[in-house]
Amino acid sequence: MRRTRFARTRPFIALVAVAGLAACGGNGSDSSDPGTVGGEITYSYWGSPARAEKVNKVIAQYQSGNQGVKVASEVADYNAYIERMTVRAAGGGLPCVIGTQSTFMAPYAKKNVLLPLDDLIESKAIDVSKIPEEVLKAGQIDDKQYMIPTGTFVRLVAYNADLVKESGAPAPTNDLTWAAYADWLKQVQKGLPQGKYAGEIEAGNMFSFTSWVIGHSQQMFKDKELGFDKQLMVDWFTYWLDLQEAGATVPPSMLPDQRLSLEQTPLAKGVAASATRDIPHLYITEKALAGNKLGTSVKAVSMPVDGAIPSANVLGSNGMSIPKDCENQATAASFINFFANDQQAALTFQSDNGILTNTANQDALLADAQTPDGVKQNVTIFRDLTTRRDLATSTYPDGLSTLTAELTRLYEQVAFGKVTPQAATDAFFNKAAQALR
Amino acid sequence: MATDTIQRPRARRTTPSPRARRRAGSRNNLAGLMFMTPWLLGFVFIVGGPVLASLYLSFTDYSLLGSPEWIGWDNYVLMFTTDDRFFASLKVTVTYLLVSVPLVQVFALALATILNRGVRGLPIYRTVYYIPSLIGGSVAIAILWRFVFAGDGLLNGILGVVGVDTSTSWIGEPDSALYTLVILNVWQFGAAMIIYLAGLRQVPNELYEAATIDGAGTMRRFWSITLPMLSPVILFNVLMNMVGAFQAFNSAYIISNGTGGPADSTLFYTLYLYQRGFVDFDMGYASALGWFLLVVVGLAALALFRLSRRFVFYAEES
Repeated sequence: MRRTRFARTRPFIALVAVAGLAACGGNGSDSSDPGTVGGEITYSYWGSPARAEKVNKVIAQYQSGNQGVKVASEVADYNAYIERMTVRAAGGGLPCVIGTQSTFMAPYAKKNVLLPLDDLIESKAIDVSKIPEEVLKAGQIDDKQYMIPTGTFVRLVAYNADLVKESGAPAPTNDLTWAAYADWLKQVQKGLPQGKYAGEIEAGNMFSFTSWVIGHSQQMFKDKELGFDKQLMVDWFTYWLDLQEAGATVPPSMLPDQRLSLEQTPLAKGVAASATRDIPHLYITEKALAGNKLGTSVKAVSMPVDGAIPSANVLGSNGMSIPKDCENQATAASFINFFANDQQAALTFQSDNGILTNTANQDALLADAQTPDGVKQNVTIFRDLTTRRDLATSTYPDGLSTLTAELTRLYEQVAFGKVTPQAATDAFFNKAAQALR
Repeated sequence: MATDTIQRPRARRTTPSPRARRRAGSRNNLAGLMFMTPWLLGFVFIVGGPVLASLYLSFTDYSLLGSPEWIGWDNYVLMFTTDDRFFASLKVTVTYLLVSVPLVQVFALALATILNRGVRGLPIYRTVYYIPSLIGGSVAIAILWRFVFAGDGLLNGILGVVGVDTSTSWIGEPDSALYTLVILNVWQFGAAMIIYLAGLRQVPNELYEAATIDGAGTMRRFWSITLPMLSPVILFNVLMNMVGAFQAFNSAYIISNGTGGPADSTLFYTLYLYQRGFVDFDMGYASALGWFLLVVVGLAALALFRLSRRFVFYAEES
């Protein structure tokens, strides 16, 4: 039988049609009637397998209390998560609940990727009454709430108490100036054996530098420019260069080691006696030291302050946000509210991504026998800082990631003698002029 | 008188008519198109389209979260006039290429020559030397490399055993960090070695016999017979390695933790492109860097082919 022309081309047309339909496939999840809690949403965040296990348990608790709601989850490590989030934001494919952080939230808020949550807060869809005001501020851009903080972190000076004791130097105190901190590092170094150092090099760390700026009564950013004097940055580079040359810090060849996972850093390997760390990292470092029998106790004191301001302990927050194009905002808000406020969820999650922001849940965590000692220690330290009002905040503008990488790179150039502190400062300011526009 | 003419039957055509040939040809074309369709669709949507889009983006200011804004040649002007890191990354990449590519050829050819002598257990040696080519580009090996060359790593441990006491962090010092990556690339010479081994098997034995009869020694036979006969294979390996060196990324990213440090000493061009695209989110500039790399690789390949006219010997042409 002679085949018609159409019969001959039919398979070809079918193939093209299938390919075309596949290309047109959209995101089937995160949809429901926008006004009611129901349907499916996806929660995307960064973390480890251990964190993923806890998040899945919290999701199961939420689902058992909200029949008909399904919450899927996606996890990636921190850097990969941010890259993926940006690419998805560009393509309009962000899930309804995304993990965000005060340090990288600004570009998404300013470019209308994130939904301002003020209306949801006012309607009590999200309850923030138990979150302290200064913590809530970390989730705001231009006085609008774009992120509900669920975990905080504060940068402090951490030290290996056993190694410091071995050096014969006294433990540092909460009222250090930067000059006193340098003297202390040199004193510790005098009593340490060869191959061990008083401190890691903090010069390339943006959080430590922020503390330096705030501690000198200046501000990091002002509108779309840097808010501090050039000389302050020159002094910062010079400060660490002097300590490096005095042998009080690890050598510059160990700078790459400082960027490895927490357990691999010089502090956690017992090579350095002190470094700056976020509160949640203190316990992890302590466990790593104890595991290698290099120390049993990691303590922390406030960041040094030279100016008249009360604190340079810069507070940052991890939290959750809702993209503007989420089609199931009611369910997203309900899930965020549960994660931030439900006591059972708090006891399950155990402050895995920063100190819990809900003060009532902090109490519950401290009272619960199942809470690990390290978590209790972290909460206690944070509460102590809050009680003493020993916290500072800073803004984190669009372009911060570029400047963070640039600071690290520039100090490496300074540390190896490739450029002077002045030249490095000029390069940083030039980069800021491009990055902060 | 009427005579009947005998009507001979028309001779049957033994060749198809032009019309039948055209019909058969279009059937073949259609079948070919149908089989090519998946690849065509993939090329258009996954390769061709994005490539053209990146060309457009290279003339824009585009941060992923906004719309591209046309700025003309500004990205390219910036690249050549004010971006010191652009030149730094080019220098690092070219250094890496000029050191590692010849070393790979030397090791690969040397080992292939030895193995071509009919050693026992050749399949085992071939496998053992080829394995690094399979796993060398992986993240796991790059992480392992970091530990091998760290201050308290395996290399210093071995040096300590032989009496060289050093705590130098080979990946932490700008003067040596790049060469740890060179060593990693050279370690993966197995793929080139396999190709050289196959090429050596194609060299006619008669040539060696004739040269031996004429009194040529080992080195003379190597320079005058082996190398010229192997020159097309050498060209292929050098070209593939060169393109690979221009595109090297994994090892530098893992070992330097994405920074290209210490002090930009491992800032490969592709790593710098990645930083501008995915750390600074300056996709327009990153696209411009990508197109410049394409031009450079194209010119380098062209130069290699031009050079090959002088140094590559094709037996069939002679």
